[in-house]
Amino acid sequence: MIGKGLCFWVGLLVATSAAHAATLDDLRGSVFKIQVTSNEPSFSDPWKRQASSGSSGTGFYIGDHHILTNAHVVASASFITVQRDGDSKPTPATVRFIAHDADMALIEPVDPDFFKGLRPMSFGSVPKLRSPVATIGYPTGGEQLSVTEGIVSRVSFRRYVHHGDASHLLVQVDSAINPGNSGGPVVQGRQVVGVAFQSFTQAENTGYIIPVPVIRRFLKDIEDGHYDGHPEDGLTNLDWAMVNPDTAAFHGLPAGKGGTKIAHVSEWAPTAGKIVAGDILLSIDDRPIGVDGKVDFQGERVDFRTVFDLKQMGEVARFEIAREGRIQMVQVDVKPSKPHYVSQFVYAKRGRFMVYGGLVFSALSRSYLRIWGERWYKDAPLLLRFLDNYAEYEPETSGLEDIVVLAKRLPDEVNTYATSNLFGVVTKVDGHSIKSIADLALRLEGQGGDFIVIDFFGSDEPIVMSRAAVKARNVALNARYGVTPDRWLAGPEDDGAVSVRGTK
Amino acid sequence: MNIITSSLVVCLLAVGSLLSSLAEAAIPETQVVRLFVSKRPVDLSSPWQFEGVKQQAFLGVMVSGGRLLTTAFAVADASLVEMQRFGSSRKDELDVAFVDYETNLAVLTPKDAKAIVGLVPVEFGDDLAIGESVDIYRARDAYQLARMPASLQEVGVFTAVTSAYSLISYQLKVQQTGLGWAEPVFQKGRLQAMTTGQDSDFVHAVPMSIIRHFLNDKHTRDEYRGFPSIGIGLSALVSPDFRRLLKAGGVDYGIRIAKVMPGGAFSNMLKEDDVLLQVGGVHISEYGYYSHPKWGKVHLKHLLNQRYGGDLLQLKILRGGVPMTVEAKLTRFNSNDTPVATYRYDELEPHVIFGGLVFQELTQEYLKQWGREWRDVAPLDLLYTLEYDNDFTIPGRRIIFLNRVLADDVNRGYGDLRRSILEAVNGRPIHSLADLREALAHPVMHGTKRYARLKFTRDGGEVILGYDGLEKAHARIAETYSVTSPDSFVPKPE
Repeated sequence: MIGKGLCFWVGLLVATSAAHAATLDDLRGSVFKIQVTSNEPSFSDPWKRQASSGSSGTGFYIGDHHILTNAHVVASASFITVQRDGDSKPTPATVRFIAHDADMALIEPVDPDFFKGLRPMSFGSVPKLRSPVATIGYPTGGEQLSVTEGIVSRVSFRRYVHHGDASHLLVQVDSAINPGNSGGPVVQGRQVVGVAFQSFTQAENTGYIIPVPVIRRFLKDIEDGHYDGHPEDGLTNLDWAMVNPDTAAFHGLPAGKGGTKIAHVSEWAPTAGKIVAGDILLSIDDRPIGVDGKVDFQGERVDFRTVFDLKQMGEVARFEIAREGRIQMVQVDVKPSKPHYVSQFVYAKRGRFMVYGGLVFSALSRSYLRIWGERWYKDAPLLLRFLDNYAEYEPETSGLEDIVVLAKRLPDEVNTYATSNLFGVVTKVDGHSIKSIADLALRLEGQGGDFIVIDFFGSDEPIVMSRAAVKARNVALNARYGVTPDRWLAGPEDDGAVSVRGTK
Repeated sequence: MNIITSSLVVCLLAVGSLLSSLAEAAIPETQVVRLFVSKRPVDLSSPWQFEGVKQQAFLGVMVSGGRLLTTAFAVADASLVEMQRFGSSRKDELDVAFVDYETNLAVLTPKDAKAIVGLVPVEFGDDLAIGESVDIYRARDAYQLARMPASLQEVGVFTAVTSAYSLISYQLKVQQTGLGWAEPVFQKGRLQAMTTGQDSDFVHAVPMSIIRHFLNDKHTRDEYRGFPSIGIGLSALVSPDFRRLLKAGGVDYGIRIAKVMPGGAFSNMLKEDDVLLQVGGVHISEYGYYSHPKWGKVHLKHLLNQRYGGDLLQLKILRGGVPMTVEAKLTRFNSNDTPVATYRYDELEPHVIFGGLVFQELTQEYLKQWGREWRDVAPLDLLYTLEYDNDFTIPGRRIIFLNRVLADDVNRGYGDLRRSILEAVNGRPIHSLADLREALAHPVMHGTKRYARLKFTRDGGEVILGYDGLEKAHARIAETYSVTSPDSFVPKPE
């Protein structure tokens, strides 16, 4: 099964001084320092933005006036500059494409001559285990390019921390990839084999790079001028079940030969209706799936999801499955998932929210949970932590687009008695189920009886307010607290969580 | 002037000390005994066995009828209870005559009546008023008690230490630490309370009215009436808008009935959104309090503390603005009526082992294994079950979960599974270990072979094991993991 709750990986954004002089003269001109002023949204007062902050990372020239870097280097950026090695003059740049799920972005300097005389870097393949790699970048705040040598120690399918919930193929290297290295090329010889992007803080000298198949997928995805994002398989599987002789016999298969057993299929996923709980996945696109849920992929054993994850929207995935003793082929059309809750960070202009009658309602997200600090997974209210992990398995929340949280009360005479259910999850307004913040807005401001009655998940105590009093007081109340705007109802595409539209 | 005033203070203090000494003299060590309790709690990770024995010391108080009073916590999981009189080296064994974990009280009797000859039953006081001074007694050594002055700071309804019952409790302000181990609380030679715990400089204690209630009851399993439950959930009704919605705007008191427990005393009489105005003729505020003559604002649950299971209780309510009176016979409160049992003492944890998979009932005691911060750090879905899926719905419903897997060839591939809640076995929903045993007795046939299909909630998936050779596998597992009781297994080991 895919584990949840990793909290000790960090992106590699903040820079300090240089450590190691670069020697790869041919490549150094194509690697840039990226400096960013960012202006992140506030999730405790969602109509506000946080104070500006500065950070830096690395990027490299891939041709067509584009610099490839990490999404987390330029997320929420209000101003970006790029700087060539040895050049004292930073050049402003803009984001052309950003893929938060894959932690990659393409930026473009505003100066059309910026790349004059530079050669784009070319891509290689997935580096072999125990092969040496060199990470090039501007770690720990330095002005000079540095190169760090390392050895490839693992190829696996794991979580990308910038997104919070998405997992993709990644390569682990046993070298110190430091803050500021983010977005820098990792090379073997003259070829890029990955992009440095995160490290493991609980182990020394453990860094992670985005490998070429994930990079190529991103670049292909945006060829039509729009980033669609990685597909979600929505499958929960029970690895190793098929090693059990009785289990294998029940499914009409020889023990240990292979296959992983499906425990749950999310109703919002493209696999829903094609694959069902209890199926044994035997292969994907003719790659046999082992009892450990892994397939052979470019010489390594990785999670079978890797194959599905690297597909573009509109492609198909072919699964060989065993169902009720019969082996059959199932074709899944790879397409975007239906709207659903994803336990991810939000990089939109704002998180989705609405303020009405002084009650602040926010859409649950990993960013919202971070209000409780680094230990949010322990300190945040139990219900929110639970739904963040298990929403898709609960009948009450499985079809929701947003999990709507009563996040705050802005005290006013109209809500003096609406003190219950803080951090509660809204289930109904006036008896109507609430599936999103937009839905909530419709119900709160729509026609109804004399009273607005708001019900909450697991609570026997609704909030009841006079509809007329709230309506009469709302504008003045928002003015009193400087609530502008009083809502942000942007859909998943607009919120930058998966993708943003390119403007080339 | 100053000197004269100071002298006067000194003089008054001296009189005070004299009075205290007289009071102390009225509480001889012949009324209180030391209790040495050998405890053997169940090993919740290996529920077929107890943990190692540990010893704890408490106090007991001589009451009428040749009985000693202490807290239920003191004798919970006891394998041996011994008493020692102050000034004596002799230890005598006691029987735990009756325990009420709901109120955290217990009575003990000597195996040999001679053990208590010469001990003098205490006299009982009345409930204290806020601010009154008392003395908490604890063992100084084997010869005498030490007196710790305290004062009653607050009286409130709190959940008992050993149960989920809401019980009136004293908060006694003290200077000392290390109290709360069933020490008696005296005032002027009369017993006023028994301590049950301590939070920094406050000691919690069971008041005399609760002790009297307990001691006046019949101490047999069948005849004990115990403390009742009203079987409803309440929510404050402060909002004028909400009061108008419920047509209760005409009165400025009364609390909203938020939930009516199925099978509860008033389950067929009350409805959600009724407004509770009076309990037994006593007015109830919008927050659920009533006015107590000594303690002021006290939660209405204390009105139940004064009654017995089986007593009749009359409630006055408003329903849709119309006043109504309902009356019902109260049922005895049981903390373990909820799917997640609150406590289980003195017995092995019920469990079933099938193919090395160890299934147990989810209890609060299990979750408390995660330490002081268990409510934050215990497994999320188990905590959620406790907080949000713990309503009394199906009589006797329990949450059955896979605690761990005793690794063996029979369960190859499933060795890492743990703490998953069981949903169904062989197509039958599982709400108790009895359900599980019954379901396991009805294998699923597939071809000519018998299988068990064990389905777990959420992301737990399904485990499929065969029945062939299971008895031999169970014998192997029993040997490897020292599971001594054949009844632990379904089917029994061969």
